[in-house]
Amino acid sequence: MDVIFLLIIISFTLAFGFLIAFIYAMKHDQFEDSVTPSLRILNDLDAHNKHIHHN
Amino acid sequence: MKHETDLLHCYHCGESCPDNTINKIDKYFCCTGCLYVYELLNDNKLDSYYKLNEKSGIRAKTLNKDEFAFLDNIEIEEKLLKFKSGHTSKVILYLPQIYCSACVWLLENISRLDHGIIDSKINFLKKELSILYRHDQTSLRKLVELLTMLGYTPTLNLADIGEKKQVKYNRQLYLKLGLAGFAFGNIMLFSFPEYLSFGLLESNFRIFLSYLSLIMSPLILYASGDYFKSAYNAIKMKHINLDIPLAAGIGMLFVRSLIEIVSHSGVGFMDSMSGLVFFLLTGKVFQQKTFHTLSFERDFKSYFPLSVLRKRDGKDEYIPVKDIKEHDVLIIRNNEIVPVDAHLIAGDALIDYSFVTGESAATRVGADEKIFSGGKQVGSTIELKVLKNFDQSYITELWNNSAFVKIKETNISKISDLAGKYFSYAILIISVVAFLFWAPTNLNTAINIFTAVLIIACPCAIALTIPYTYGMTLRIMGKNMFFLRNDKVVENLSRINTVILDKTGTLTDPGKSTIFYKGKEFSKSMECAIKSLTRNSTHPLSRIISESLTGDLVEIRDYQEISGKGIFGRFDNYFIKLGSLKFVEWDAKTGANEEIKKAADKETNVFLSINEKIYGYFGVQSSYREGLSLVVENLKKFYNVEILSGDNDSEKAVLEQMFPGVKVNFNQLPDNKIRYIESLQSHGDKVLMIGDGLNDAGALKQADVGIAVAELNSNFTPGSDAILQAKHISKLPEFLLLTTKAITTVYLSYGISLIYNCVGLYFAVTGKLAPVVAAILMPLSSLSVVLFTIIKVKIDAKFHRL
Repeated sequence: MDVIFLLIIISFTLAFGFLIAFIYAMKHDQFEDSVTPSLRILNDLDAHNKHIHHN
Repeated sequence: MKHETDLLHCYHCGESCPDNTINKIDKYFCCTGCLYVYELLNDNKLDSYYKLNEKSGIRAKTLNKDEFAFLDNIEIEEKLLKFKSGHTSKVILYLPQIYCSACVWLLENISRLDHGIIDSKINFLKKELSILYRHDQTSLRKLVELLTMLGYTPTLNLADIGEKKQVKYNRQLYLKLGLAGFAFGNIMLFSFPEYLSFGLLESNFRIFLSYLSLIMSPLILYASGDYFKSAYNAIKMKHINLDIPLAAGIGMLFVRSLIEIVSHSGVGFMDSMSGLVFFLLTGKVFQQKTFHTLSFERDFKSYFPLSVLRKRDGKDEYIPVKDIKEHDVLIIRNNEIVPVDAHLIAGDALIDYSFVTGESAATRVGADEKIFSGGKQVGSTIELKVLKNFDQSYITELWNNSAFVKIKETNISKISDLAGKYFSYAILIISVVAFLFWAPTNLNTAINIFTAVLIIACPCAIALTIPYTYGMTLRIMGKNMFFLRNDKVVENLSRINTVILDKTGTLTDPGKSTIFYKGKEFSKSMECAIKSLTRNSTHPLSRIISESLTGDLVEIRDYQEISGKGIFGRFDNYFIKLGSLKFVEWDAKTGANEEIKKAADKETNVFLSINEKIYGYFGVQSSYREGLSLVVENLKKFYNVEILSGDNDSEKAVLEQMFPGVKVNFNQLPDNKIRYIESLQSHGDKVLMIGDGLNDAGALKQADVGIAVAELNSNFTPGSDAILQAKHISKLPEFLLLTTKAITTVYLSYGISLIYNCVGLYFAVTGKLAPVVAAILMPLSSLSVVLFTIIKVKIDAKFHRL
């Protein structure tokens, strides 16, 4: 029975991780535009010389 | 040989090539511009552009050397930039030409063409390109010129440099939904042992789980903050709305849970509380639907240029529109908008005021005559002398008219407001009566029952009804190219009893005008001659006349065009003149008859004389959109339909025949239209105005609901609550009927949630409300309402073939 305590804590920690990931995505505008990335993925023809910058 | 070249298509833009002279290895191009762009892309290893989408290019434009010189003006540049710091600047440009994945690829790799660009990123839906660049290595002007050369000319207009109204999606709402979802999911997990153990759970395990649920409460309270705020404001304003019982329910759930859990007397209602808040927030999210490509907030500035070419001391320079001073001399080219009131000093002015008046035919303006701001020059370049500066010009003054400033109350749903009021009173009475009934026997039970009533009566399902019903209706309308500003417009539309249609641009199709000829018949060979003669002229009217005539092209001798007056030429033994009445009358042997003289009042009529004899005239007639008779016929079954027209009553007979029994008011100026609607409203009528153009903007705003009919999404649609694509105007009666059905759906759904509430109240009043009952009833009622409304609206839409 005691293992349930441990399992619950693990599940809670995992879920908390997802929450943090969600908030991170939110803050970095990942939900702002959900169409362009789907087009972008088709275009990775010569990704080797594409420079990716983040601001 | 000719046959072969017919099949040649430009490798860059896909248009057919005139011949095979412009080529590179095995690839052919239609113009040197396209070839240049191809070479540029090829040299910079960007040729996969063509692999992504064959012939994806946009026909290259020849760049006018000084076209974007105004971007070197520091003041303009700074206002266009998003930010500028150190060495880097960021700008967001609107590129309407973006249409496929190849565009995205090319524009996001544009840094290979200009090494000053650090990063470029596309937002496909908004058709926006954001560029981060080093301003010591490149400049805004260079970027815009590069984009223009590639065929992506950014739309730069006066609104871009005004105060920026950032329309951001509601990030906080999504965050709250995420937090509530997180809390809801976890708490459900923690509650399952309790649900399934039937009271056999070890007590320390039970306490542990309930504390775990309790630590989620800050998240839920944060997520439900808006309801508490709204309830507090409502109470402060002595107004009762649905948020008050909602906030009371959520508050009670929390307080009772807290007491039960801390005192170890129970497991609390955290499951119901988190579920409730989560469902409420999904409703709020569903309610919001933004159509990215549309903007309801645009004003006339979005259609005005940023700069204008000024001629001074023999030098031409671009200056910002707001720096135009009285007496400046401006140069306006073909298809440019005249930004200020001015008078003509040189050139052949043909001004298209369709943007201001909705009237499609262009007006000819003589030398020294006044041109109002907002008109667009069609044809050759003209020179103007400025009469008034920008702030005092016609269009700015018109815009500042009080009717435009008026703000309509569209944000409150009257139905939900009323429901909230009755519901709140009912709950308050029931809870107090239950409390008083139990209080003498057992005060503890009385308090329990009082709170249980507030909890179970929490009008979650009622609060979800409107967001889901209207939200769904909004989506279905959007799919049918009828875009509502927000979901409240659905309710306003359902209340309409009078429909007012504007004639010009709404009933008539501004893009389609037909040419008619009145006067003496001419022979077939004369027709060929007229067709050929008019083909020589670049004047828009000449072109329409030429297209409307049939026959083979013949060679015209002695062709001449007298700017602003007309054209003449010879074929065979005919001497043909076309132009203003004065122009053809001048050498005519006999004068014009009365009918023809009368026709000279209209600027767009073109008169014809053959061998010095006046034959007749060509006129432009606006053509009506198809299927309108049926639309009006259907609307008339349910609504009072009227037509307002800014024109004179020359088309009265046509209108009466098309729309029998419909009241038509002619000569309605923008001001008249506003007052006419006001007078209808003062009799208690709810008015729907359907119009277009700036001339209707005031009326659209004054009406209870204003629908702008637009040819394209980029049309001018200020003051409107909804935008309807012109070719879908025939569906209007169905749209209106769908809104009335949506209201029925709302009432039915209220009925469903009331049944659930009564069941819940039975448990609450008798003191038998176990947490598990609440945890089942509340989500169940919300879910039923959501499913019911969505399915009902879908069925209604199917019924109306939407």
